[in-house]
Amino acid sequence: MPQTFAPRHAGTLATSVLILGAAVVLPQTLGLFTLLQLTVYAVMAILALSLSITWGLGGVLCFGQAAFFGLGGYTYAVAVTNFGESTLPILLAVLVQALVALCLGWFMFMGRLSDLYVGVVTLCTSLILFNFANSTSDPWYRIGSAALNGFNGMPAIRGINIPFLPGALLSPVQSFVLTMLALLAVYLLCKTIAGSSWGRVVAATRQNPLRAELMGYDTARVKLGIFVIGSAVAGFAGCLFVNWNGFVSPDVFGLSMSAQIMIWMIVGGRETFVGPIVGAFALQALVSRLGVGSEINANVVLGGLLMIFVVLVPRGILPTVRDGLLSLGRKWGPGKTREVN
Amino acid sequence: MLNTENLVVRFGGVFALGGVDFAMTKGEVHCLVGPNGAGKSTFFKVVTGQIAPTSGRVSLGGSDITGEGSAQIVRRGIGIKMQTPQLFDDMTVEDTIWLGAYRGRGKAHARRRTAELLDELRLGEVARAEVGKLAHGLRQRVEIASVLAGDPELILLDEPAAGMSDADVDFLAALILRLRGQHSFLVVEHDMRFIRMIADRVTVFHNGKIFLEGRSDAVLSDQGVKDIYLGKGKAHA
Amino acid sequence: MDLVLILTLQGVVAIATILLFSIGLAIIFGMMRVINLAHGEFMMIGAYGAVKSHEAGLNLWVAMLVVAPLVAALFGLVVERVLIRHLYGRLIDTLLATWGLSLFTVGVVTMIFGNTTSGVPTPLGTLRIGDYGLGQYNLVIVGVTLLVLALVALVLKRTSAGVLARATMQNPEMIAALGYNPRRIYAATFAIGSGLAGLAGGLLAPLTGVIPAMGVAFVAKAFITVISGGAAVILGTGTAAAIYGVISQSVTYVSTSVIGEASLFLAAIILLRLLPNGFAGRFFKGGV
Repeated sequence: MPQTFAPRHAGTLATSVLILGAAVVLPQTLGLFTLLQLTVYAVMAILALSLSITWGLGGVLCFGQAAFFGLGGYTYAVAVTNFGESTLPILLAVLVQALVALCLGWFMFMGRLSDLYVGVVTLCTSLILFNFANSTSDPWYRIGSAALNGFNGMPAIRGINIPFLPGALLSPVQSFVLTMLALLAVYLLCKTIAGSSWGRVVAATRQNPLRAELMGYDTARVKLGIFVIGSAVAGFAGCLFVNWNGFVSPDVFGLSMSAQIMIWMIVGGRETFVGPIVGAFALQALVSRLGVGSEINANVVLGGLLMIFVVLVPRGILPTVRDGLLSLGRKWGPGKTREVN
Repeated sequence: MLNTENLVVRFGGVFALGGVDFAMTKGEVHCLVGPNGAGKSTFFKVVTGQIAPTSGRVSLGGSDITGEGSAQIVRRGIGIKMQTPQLFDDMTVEDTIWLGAYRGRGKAHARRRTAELLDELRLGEVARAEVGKLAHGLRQRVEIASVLAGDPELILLDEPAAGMSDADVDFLAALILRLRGQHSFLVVEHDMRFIRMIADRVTVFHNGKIFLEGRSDAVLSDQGVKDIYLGKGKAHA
Repeated sequence: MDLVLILTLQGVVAIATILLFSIGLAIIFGMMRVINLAHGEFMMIGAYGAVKSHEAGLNLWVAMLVVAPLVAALFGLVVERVLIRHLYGRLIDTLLATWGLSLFTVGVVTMIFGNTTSGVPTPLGTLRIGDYGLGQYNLVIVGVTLLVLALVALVLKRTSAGVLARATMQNPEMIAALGYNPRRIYAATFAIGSGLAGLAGGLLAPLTGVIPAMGVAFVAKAFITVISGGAAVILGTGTAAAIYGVISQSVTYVSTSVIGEASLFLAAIILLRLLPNGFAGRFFKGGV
């Protein structure tokens, strides 16, 4: 059986145990404030994974991941305000984004747009949504009982409740556990896709679309598939974000949102799934630390890191460290297979 | 099985192909030769769906495939290997062959076929190696294995011997001779030694047209063909 | 009648504005295959150059037309040496690294000047056409844009600079063998593109106000205009600017400026789908 894309079970297991352990142990050891912070880091880690699927695995250069993230948030906000219950809205946040991505992706990939054009089109999409959401201040813009509120955003959005029990809203601690479990589920989804036969076709399409075509694979359809999955996950992250925030505004569609996701991915390592998670947690922690009583602007740090990594460490922290350890291991120990992941 | 009728390709005002009627039958190894700019590469590109002809028709086993893209043509049972190797550099040899075999046939078949081909093309030792790290000759062999993995009826090869060592060329020739019962081959090639080893029939292109077509030994010993290669072709054309 | 005239003028101003803030990016992309997502920050730096030198007592026109492009060109020289030269031939990486540069520059300028709007007064008065008015300064922008276009066209057509820059990207060894210094050609091209961005920033400063994050408003539109234009710097970018300018201006007239901007992006999506090689690939093959 070919090995390259089979999940490296030891690494996957270790990562899963770590996430699960954090979900169980941390609520007992950390204060509420820290837990709330960790919750949003985990939401952003899911968002980072969504781009890992689209760009890292599928090679689809998406500059507008924020479009799906933001739309997911708005979809959830509108639906939950109307329904007064969160189960269906969560599903909608995912499904609507899958549908939007299907339409947009059909338009792009069946038209055989080049990578760069796909980047521009997705960027345009997020900017259109940003502009549109900003111009919905007029009370006329409402869906059911939910007013969109333009640049002021939608306040006081209901959080997630236990499925079909509208009265049983999740506490912040329960939300933390839910988000961590969601992170675990998305991580395992990524691993499953990458390890599957279809995942291998996706990787082939990314590496050499011409050869994949010459093997008879319909690369447009393959890209469309991976784009839909990545976008649906981004929509899910958006829904979790609104659950955490209780509020959604057009900023979720902003350029800086899309930029951040790319930075987490590149710093962590775009070839892995753990890299973007680590990148999302580490950089947000760093930025929030800088935000408190520091003279240094967070943009300076993020921008500086992005430049340094693209030029000097293009593969990101994790793969670089892994290869470093491996070459050390080869020097010192018996030949072990790649297990760090 | 593969036919073209009055195939014309024009780039701007220049005729790259000026009306080519070509036919090859099932089971033969057919080589296309001709000096640079004779039109054989353009012909190959049309047949493999990389460029659409200005006019004319390409048909495979009776059905019209003119203007279809490469992927569609491949799905009709044609295997294509282009001049520059097209491979997945970060993938293993095994995975590459597996991908060729997997489409439309499922995992069990793919696994079996991969094992067969690793053996058949003597790639077992490098099965787990990344394709990007292999030497040129081996890469060519991996690509041919991945093309064979799709079990195409007809295989189109563009200069498969280019840049290969004599030993590699001999290996490839032996392989084609061994497989000629199961597949037909259409090969664009410059290497005369290689052509002599494998070809049943040879078509000579010159100035965008077919200059001569026939049995390998007859064509290769033709005085007109030799003249074309030595640059005296105009007198005969 | 007056309305038609004023709307036409506004359309021309809109097109000229898009062209003005895109041309620097177009040169850098067209000549060097580098996408500079920090383009808006080069404009911002030019704008700050103009504002600060004007505050220090310099004549406003000198500040906008001379200081702004010079400051940005100098910044461009530094950026090319430190960052861009590592990335030639890696299109997507230039895009990511300059995105980082964009954030970095916004952050640094915020730390220096604070996150407040500084401005310069809009020079000249209002042109009255019947009941309608248009700032005369807008016509200056049109004039300068035409002048810049003419100069760029002249340099690209009449001198070998354009050919040289393009050839250098494709084969630096060859250019070196011909006796030119590739490093100098890269640096010069990038500096000229940066300088034009600075000029745009300086000229637009009176209209938009100057804040560290002002570049964001321009970069996406410039990027889209240039990519839709394709390889021909002037014809391609010019056509794209004309189409986007007219569309966004007309939609703005019937709705709001925010929707007008959104319509520009929508038009871009549709155009890219119809012309996957940009205007240059379709209509102006080999032109400049």
